[in-house]
Amino acid sequence: MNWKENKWKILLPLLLAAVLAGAFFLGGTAADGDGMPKQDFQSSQQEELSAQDAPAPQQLPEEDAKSDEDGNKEDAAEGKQDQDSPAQKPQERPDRKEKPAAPQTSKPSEPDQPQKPENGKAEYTCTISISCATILNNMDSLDGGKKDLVPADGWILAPMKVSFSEGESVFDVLRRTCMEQKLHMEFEDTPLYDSAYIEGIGNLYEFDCGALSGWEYAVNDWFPNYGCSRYTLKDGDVIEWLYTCDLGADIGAPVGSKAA
Amino acid sequence: MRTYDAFSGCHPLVNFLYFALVLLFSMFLLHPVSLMISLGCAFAYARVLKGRKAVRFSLLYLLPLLLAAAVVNPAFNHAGVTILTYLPSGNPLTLESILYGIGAAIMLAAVVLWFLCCTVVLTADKFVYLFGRIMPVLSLLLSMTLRFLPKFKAQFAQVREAQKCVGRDVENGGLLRRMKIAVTLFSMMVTWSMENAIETADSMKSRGYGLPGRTAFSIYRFEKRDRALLLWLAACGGYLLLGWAAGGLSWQYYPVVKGALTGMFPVSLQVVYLLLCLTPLILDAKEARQWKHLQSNI
Repeated sequence: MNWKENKWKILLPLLLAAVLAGAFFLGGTAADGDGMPKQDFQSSQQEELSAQDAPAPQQLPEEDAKSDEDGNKEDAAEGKQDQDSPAQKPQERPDRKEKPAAPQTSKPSEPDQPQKPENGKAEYTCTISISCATILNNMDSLDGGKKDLVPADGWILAPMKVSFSEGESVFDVLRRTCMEQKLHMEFEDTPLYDSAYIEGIGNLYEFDCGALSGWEYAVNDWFPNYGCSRYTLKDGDVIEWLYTCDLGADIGAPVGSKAA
Repeated sequence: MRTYDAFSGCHPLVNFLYFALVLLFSMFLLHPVSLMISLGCAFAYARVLKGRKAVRFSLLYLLPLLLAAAVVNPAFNHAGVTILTYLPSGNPLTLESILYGIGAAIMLAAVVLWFLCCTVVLTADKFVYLFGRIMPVLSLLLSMTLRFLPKFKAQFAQVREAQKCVGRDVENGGLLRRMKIAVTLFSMMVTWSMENAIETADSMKSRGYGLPGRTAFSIYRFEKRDRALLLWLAACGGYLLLGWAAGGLSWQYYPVVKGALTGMFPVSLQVVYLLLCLTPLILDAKEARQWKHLQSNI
């Protein structure tokens, strides 16, 4: 085994490592530990937004809210950008400052990025309930083996007060409550959107009651159009988890409208 | 050592019907009792046909596969009412998902073993005999495909030995050299297999395969025994299909494990299924006894 024959065994991994390290550091995000793709994702959204906002800078927040989900995601990204780099894109500052002062005073229009819960700082309470009452009207389309799982009154979890600490999201509260109440709950985490999706509660899964069925959540009767793990709770919030058999239309949150 | 198998000597139609029924039921019945019957009978028959090789294959490949499948399912499937504990991802680990994983693994192992038996009993000539008239192209294609892997293996060994002789062994030299040789070998094998397939097809065509009015030599005779067996298989299969449609073989894993277990009808279905799966073994035992009986009479 001489050097000439085996040099590629050493050189190739070294070269690979060098390229990977270069790519990592040139991304410029190695220091703060924030993922590189995330940054790209946000900046591209930022550009999209600026292009969209440019012709009508005085757009009313109401109208803004009427646009579909993308619009609100941009809001979210924008909000974060605000915190991360306040010096960037100063020409959009006035437009953005208007948004937090939106007329929807009781209902939050922007998802706050859930901060790491600082344990023991403050204890709040909220109300949580889980209901699948819509299935009662659609029993024929429910999967055969799951009929016994639906309670007679539709309440999987009747409204109950639970405590949570500051910065916790709807998802955190649901998960903890389900664990405590010995309720089954399955979710899927999507790191790209930094969001959790609830696939099933109490063994009632999405698509179990027709192709348009699944779980949705409302806080203070408002159906947020982003994932439950991005909704940071406030004291006294009322969380409702509702099973829909018709893509939200049967629980007061039809697609395309911002139910209030 | 290969023992004599009476079932292999039956008419191809009987063999085909048997394997079609058994594979169908093995693939679609998730009832734990049916699964155990299927796996047990498949293993027993594979042992008769292949001897210790079948046992080695089962222990070496099927057992790890079975265990892996049983572990993988609960990792991805979290449905079920009995929550045992919570996985690191935060989703529940349920008893039902573990049971379903085991059931699916047994089904997989049983089907693999049944196919193992099927390739021994239902040889290519039997297959061509059965379907050569109805669908000549498909049956030739199938028999060539089924024949491909063993043939490829044999040819590969041959080419490798030949290459070794000229000093190009895959086990010598540096990584790059070995990879180069392996790629060359692979290219040779691909070339060979394509050429071989074309040659086979041309050869069959030149013999007039698939032309109307052309007869093929076959040594199979449809005897009284075959008729009885065919009737028996059809009766069993019909009863099981009816029972299946009536829900006598139903079993549900999610969200609660339950299904038809007790009662006259489900039990009778399982007994019929056991008898159906055991048909070749019963036949073998019967012939062995007859043989011994005749010998003792001399």
